[in-house]
Amino acid sequence: MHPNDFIKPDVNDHDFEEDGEPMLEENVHELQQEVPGEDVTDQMLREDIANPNSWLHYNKGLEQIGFAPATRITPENIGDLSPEYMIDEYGGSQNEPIIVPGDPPVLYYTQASPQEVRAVNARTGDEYWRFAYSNENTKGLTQANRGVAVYQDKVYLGAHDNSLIAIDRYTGEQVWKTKTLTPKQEEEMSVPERMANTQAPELFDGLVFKGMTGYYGGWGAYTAVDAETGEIQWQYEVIPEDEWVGESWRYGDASPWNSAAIDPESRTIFIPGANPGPMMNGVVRPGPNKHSDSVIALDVDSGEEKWTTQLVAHDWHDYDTYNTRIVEMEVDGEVKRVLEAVNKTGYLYFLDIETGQLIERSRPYAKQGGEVDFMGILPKGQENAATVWPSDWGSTEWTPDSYNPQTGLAHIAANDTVKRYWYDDYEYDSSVAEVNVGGGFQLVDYEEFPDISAHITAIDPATGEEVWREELEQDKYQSRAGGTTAAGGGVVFASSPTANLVAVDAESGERVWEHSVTDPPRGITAAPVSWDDPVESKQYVAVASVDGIQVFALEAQEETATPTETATETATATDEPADTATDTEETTSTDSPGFGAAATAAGLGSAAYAAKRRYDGQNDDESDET
Amino acid sequence: MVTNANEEYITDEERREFLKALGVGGAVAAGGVGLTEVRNSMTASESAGLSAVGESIRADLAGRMDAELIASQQATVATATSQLSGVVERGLPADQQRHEFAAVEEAARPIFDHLTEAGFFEVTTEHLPAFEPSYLESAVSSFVGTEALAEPLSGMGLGEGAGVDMLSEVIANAEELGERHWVATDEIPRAEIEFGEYIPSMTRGAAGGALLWLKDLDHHLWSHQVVLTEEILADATWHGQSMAAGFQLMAEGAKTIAADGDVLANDELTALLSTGFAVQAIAQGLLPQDAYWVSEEMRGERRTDLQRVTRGN
Repeated sequence: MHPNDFIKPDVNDHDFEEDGEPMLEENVHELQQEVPGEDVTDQMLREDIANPNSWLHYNKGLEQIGFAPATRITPENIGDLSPEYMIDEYGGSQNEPIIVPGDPPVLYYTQASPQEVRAVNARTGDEYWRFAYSNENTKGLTQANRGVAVYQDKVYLGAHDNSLIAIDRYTGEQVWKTKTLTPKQEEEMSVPERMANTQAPELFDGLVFKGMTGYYGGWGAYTAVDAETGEIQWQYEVIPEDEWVGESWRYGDASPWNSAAIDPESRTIFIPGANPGPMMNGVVRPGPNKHSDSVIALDVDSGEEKWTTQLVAHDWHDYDTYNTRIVEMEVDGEVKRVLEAVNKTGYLYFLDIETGQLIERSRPYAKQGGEVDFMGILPKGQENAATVWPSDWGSTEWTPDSYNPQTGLAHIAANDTVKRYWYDDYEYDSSVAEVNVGGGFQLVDYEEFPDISAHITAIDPATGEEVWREELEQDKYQSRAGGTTAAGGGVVFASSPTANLVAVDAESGERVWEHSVTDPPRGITAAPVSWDDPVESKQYVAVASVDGIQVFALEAQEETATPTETATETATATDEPADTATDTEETTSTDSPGFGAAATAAGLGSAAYAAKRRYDGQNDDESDET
Repeated sequence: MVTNANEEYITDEERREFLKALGVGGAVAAGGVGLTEVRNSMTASESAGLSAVGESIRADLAGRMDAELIASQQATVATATSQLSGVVERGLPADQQRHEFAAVEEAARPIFDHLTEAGFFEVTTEHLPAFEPSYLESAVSSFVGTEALAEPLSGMGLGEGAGVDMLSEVIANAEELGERHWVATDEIPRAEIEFGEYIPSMTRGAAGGALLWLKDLDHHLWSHQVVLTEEILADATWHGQSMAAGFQLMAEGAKTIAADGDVLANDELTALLSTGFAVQAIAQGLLPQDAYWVSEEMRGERRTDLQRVTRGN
């Protein structure tokens, strides 16, 4: 977790109010018009990965691959992509909107401060309702929120104070609220109010899943809640006490703060684990510090641990694991579902989905090392501060990345960032929500380090090689790029540190479109979402920034292709652009409302197609599904 | 094929620095030399100040520990550790995770738990001085000078030169150890730190951390094997052996106190404990950098047959 997500050095929310920050004494609900449409079903959630008309999960689909199957926007016509409307009354930049398909489709989004959920017409931005939540004392740890989940007639908000709130998706009224701190956290944590929440909850088979954010002394947990009743089904404490020395687990953190991929086949959730605490002082936490910086595979029904794999043991650098995705690869001649994990080190990790064993690791896609050995122990004392690449901003930060099943390539918006670090004595003060990481860092002079950069990359998971790279414009104060979203028409969206939303050709990496989103140019850190509206014959793209949520649209005929055969490419491919070997294609028009099986299957990638068939129980002999 | 993992890890230069610190100079050849040979070449070792420390530790822990329990588990630790000498030859685990380093941890855990309960770590942290380089040289010199102190290392499957190599590593890393907060308890302002009471005493951190790394290592070697090499496996094995040996020395010191006899003088006791803690602390600092934090330059050749899967667009 990055310190800049939490910068409020004060004791409670009311003090923020005195300082000019908004603070609600009670929930506020405003209804302009009931949301039209029907309930969101289990089938819709499972098929989200394949549905061009929806965006029902954070980073799209249970598998979290960040791929929009909509195909109207292509490298050839993207010049016509233009602003449709702007949601500019907005506070919070990390949100990824949810799109429920319909006529019209509905867009749900959150803002962080004050904490709100709003429902709008996805075609126009016209508001249906807003719900503002009055957080309990959160010690001020309230600077980010990444979105909601949706299921049946409800949307679900993970609030800053670790409440999970169900809201009627049609009217915006609160239905239930469940506090998700564990009994152990409530009873044994010195200041449980320090645990916060930034992630979007997730939905699968009637359960809502959420983690929490730490950083201030404490430890994290994951919770599954009955979506209908709000009753807690299970809770998982991330830190195993017996794998820490003495009671050092009490400040060990490892809070799972971002959303996790869910495998509907094995009914497993793959939780990305965060850094240990204190972040930059490993001396006071001997051992590997389980299960920080790990992937944690849990049974979705029971919360039982299936396996854990730690990607960075005994971390000194805030190299959290922050995204997991389920993709397909051919391993030793067999097509398998593989778990892709991303952390801040600059590698992609591909794990066996059944065992957690590392299948392969990519080559670095960002600069590593510096005056301290890569991942090595920091020097003691500010006088010995030393450079570290990547910095705690990471080779990538929390931003969601994408996998393109059409090309089999992963797309990362990466950063070459550096700071000077040292470790020192650390101190937590229970009276304030002060960030103390057990050390310190200094920003560097960018002119001294011309290698600082941000770029969009395409990485071949098989070879680990970069297939292409598009450099992004640099900003003096913000060297981080936003997340990536691959789309079915052959483009990949990402954003530059200068707040340009950028699109590149998925095969060549050539920049084909850009648009400035904020004025003055300030960074976009979220990933865009994209959906198709068959009634309007438009494909939309929405991205959150510090200025609001900008929505773009392009009207065009939809040209889609139904995949009938899987292609694989050898691991010897290196610097060549992706060969998206297509075999027999059949072009169909899906310019009709609704969400039929044909539309679902059309023009989709492997994981999407497999997900569709899994659900329908189809038996496609030409499939490579395992 | 590397059989004694330490032989390639420790450089002759480090061995020479160690011998120099003991005042042996060029009297013995560096490579493969054993502790006995070094001891025979030493003049009287310097142990000023160690005696009072040992006396205080012995006094504070009198009657609080069970010598028999420690001794019986020490034998199990030795047996489990002796199996580590074959790890490099067996190579990285192929299909199944092995249970080699974790077996050492399991054998050592009852001793650790007993010492924790007895307050052993709080007492040793309180009385042992900061591990500055000069102190470590003094303690190590005293350790080498007393034949009986290295006895616990026998039966652990360590090669002839392993003792020298382990101590060479202490001398080579003494400065880093001193910097990494290896200080007496009263130098940590625990009362002023919210979680101060939960920070492990430094000796407990050394022993407890070593056991946690041993517990984890088999799984790490199995789960990350695609990026590991024979050299990384050898380094991991050496650090695992070192942590086990350091633990065994520490346990020997505890057993001596518990036995309440005159087997060791107070200065010898201090040297034994200091050496045991230092070896554990240093090995667990080196293990992650050599076997866990695997850079692209360190990693093994890509050997998995992988192809990416694409479907028509």
